[in-house]
Amino acid sequence: MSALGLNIGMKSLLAAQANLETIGHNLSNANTPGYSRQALQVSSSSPIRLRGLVQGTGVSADTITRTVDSILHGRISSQVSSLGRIDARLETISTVESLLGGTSASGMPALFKKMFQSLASLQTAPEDPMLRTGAVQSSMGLVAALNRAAGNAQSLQRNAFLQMDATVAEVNALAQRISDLNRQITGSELGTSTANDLRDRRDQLVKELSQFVDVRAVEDARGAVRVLVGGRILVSPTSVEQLELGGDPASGSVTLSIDGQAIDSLGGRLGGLLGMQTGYLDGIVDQLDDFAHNLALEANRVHSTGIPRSGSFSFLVGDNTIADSDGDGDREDELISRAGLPFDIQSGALYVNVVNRASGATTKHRIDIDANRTTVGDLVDAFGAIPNLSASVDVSGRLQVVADAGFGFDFSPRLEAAPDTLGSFGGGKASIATAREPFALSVGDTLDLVGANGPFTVTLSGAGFASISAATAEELTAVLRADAGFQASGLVASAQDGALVLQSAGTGAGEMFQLAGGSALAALGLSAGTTVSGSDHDIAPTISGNYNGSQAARWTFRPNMDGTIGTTQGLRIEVFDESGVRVAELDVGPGYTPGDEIEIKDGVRIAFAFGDVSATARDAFHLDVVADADMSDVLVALGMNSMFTGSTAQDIAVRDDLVLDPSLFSVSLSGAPGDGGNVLRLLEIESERLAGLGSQSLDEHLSGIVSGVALEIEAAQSAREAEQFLLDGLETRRDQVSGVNTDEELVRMIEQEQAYNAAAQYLRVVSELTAELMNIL
Amino acid sequence: MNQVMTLLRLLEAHVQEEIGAQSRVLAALEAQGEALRSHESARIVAATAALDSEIAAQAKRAERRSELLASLAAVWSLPAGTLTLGSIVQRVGDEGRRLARQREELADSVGSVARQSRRNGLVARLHQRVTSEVLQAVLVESGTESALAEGGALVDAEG
Repeated sequence: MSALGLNIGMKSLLAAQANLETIGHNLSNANTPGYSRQALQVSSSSPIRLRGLVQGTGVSADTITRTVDSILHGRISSQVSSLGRIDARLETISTVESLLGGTSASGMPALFKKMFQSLASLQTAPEDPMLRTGAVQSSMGLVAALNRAAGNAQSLQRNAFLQMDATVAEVNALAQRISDLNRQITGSELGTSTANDLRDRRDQLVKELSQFVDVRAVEDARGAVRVLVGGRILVSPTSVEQLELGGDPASGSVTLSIDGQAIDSLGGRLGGLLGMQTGYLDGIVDQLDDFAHNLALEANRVHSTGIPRSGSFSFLVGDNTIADSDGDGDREDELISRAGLPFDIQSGALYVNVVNRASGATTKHRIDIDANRTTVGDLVDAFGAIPNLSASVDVSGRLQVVADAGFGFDFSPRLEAAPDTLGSFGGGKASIATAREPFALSVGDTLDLVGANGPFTVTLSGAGFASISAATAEELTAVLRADAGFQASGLVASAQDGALVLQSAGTGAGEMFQLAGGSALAALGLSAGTTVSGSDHDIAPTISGNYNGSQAARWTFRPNMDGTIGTTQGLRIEVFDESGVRVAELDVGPGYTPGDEIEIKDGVRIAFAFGDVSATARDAFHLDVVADADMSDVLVALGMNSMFTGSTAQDIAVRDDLVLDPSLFSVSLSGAPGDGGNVLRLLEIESERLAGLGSQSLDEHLSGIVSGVALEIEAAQSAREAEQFLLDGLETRRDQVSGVNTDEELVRMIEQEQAYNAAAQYLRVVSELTAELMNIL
Repeated sequence: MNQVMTLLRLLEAHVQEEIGAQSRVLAALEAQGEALRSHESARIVAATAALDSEIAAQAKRAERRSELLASLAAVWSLPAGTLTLGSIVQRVGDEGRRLARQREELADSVGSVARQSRRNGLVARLHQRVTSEVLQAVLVESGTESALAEGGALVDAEG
């Protein structure tokens, strides 16, 4: 055999060996993650000219290449990133679901229901101390769950930050390894040879990196990859940058940057964690805070205007501190609506009931709050202006209200049981009222009266009037009370609803006075010569029921004629609102039995005793009907007789002294035994649609949070399944393109062995035949 | 003498046929050599199969050649198997000039076939040995040797 022939055979053998080694390498790495099948590329060796002939020189093994679909590889990286993001999201949402307790008995919706079930039980027996304790305990159960959920959500935010920190470290470690491989690959690849295994390892690292962040890997002409994260270069062909985590997890301002440049779009697990940290968890905490804030607001609105079993208060101090916003050391000069209180204060009326504990008589007083003008000092003064009450701001900045000895106070919307406080409506006193102010009087006008002590004259000098030609009932009352002759007359002057009421001091048919004359009478709408007599019968109108209207109003009651209750044909009591519109007309003629209750309107009833009423004497009284005793929310803001303290999910709590003494629970509207009217109002807030919750009820809002989380989990799980399905499909395609099929590789080898074997057998026959032929030559 | 000439003409025709056949065998061997260098099993199998018909035809021609040589030996009262183409040329003198040329041509062809055959044989045997060794190593490593030895495992895998 010639040297050339032997060389050709040797080259062929070497090529075959290389091929078999490649197959063996493929088989050895069949289970190596990210390994790409390799194949030997062979070609004909360059021919040579020999003895004038161009002869082939056999085969040469050129290079071993990877079977890789780079587009498919990029899609897999992107898919791995999506999956990483969803996994991080799913992990966090599942934790949030467990914090909220879902629909289990210990879940927040169940605890909310339980609280209202306890209140419903209490409403049936408001005197029962066990049920009161139960209501307080179930309320504590709900707020404790809220506290836990909010606290854990914030812990989760901190944990998410720590996880991000650890993930950033992993990202940087991977980036460094990719950069190292870049150097090794570019250093080892010469000519057409490729560092297949190094490239596989680098591809695998890029894929691992994709789990954490969405990356784009671009290969340059020298075989190095440039890795971009959120549009910023993390790995360049010659260097590596650091991904940096910054910000404050407590404030929710977390940033990621490369080389000082912020990255907005991250993807992967890091993107998922960032989204959870800055968006989702904040949202959950906000929703829980909204729920807690509105629960406290609504429950406190009701509780602060209720009355506990022990009755009206002698002393009350607010839970919330008034801030000295301007820092001048004086809290009373602060606008009440800007005094750093946890709830907003609106313009509106606050009604205060003052109770004489000895007589049981209650008087209702109204304090008007102007959110833009009323200061803390104004409020203190307004309380102080109510007879038998005083108020102050204590050293801690809390408002305290104190009743005089023998008196109590409360803020219940209850009705005044005996509203005719002057006794000017068919009372026992001799009584007459003027027309309504203003009165066009003149300096020097006189009022000639005859009282029990004889005739006397009051001359109006003009003093005591802001403008005597438009005098008010209050001014005239003060002038009369200051007049010595009037004081000695035994008569009493009062202002009521813009009219001056002149009355005898005593009651009974023997009481009498006369309007003798004087220049002022005409301006007051009175007639000279009128004799006013008392009565032995006091009609004493009595109010009962609870007002269930939606607006506060002042109803004024007037008879349509002079007559006797239950006797005079056509006698009616007309009821007008503040604008003069008649809201009711009560027939108290012969068909009415004195003492019977008559429905006026909106749950309010009235009863009249036997006696005379007079339209001529302008008999009248008024009744304040109150839908909301604190339209300004000033009691809620100050924390006066509240049910809950705090205003966020994390700090809401049942008021300490309610926990210690559940008898302080304001179950009643009237203070009367068995009255559970305030619990009934508390029950209504369960399903009441609230503006603060976007017209959702507390129940709906809480269920919405829980079901929203459940839906998020379901959506994330569905998305995960879809993304995983897609990734599996891509991986299968990758395996088809780049993977090693052990069976196929073995079959290939066995086929080769058999083919070589068959060839060798045939050649043996050929040799034998050829030898036989040569023998006969 | 006539019988010798008749047999000589038949032998010349046979040798000419053999020269053509050896050219075809050489071409088939060269194709097989290419296939062996490509390491493509299918190509190797196809090239080897192409040799099959040539080998079969060569065996028939060897039989026919034996008969012709035996007949000539009988005419010259020689034992069968003692004649070669060279001894025949010497015996027939000038009448054997054509056969002499044919003999040289056939010798060249057979030499080429023998060289190509040896070369292919060497390559095929070595390939087969190396493949067998690698296969053995891989199967032992993957633990499928016994399954393969028993047969059926890979057939099942393919199925």
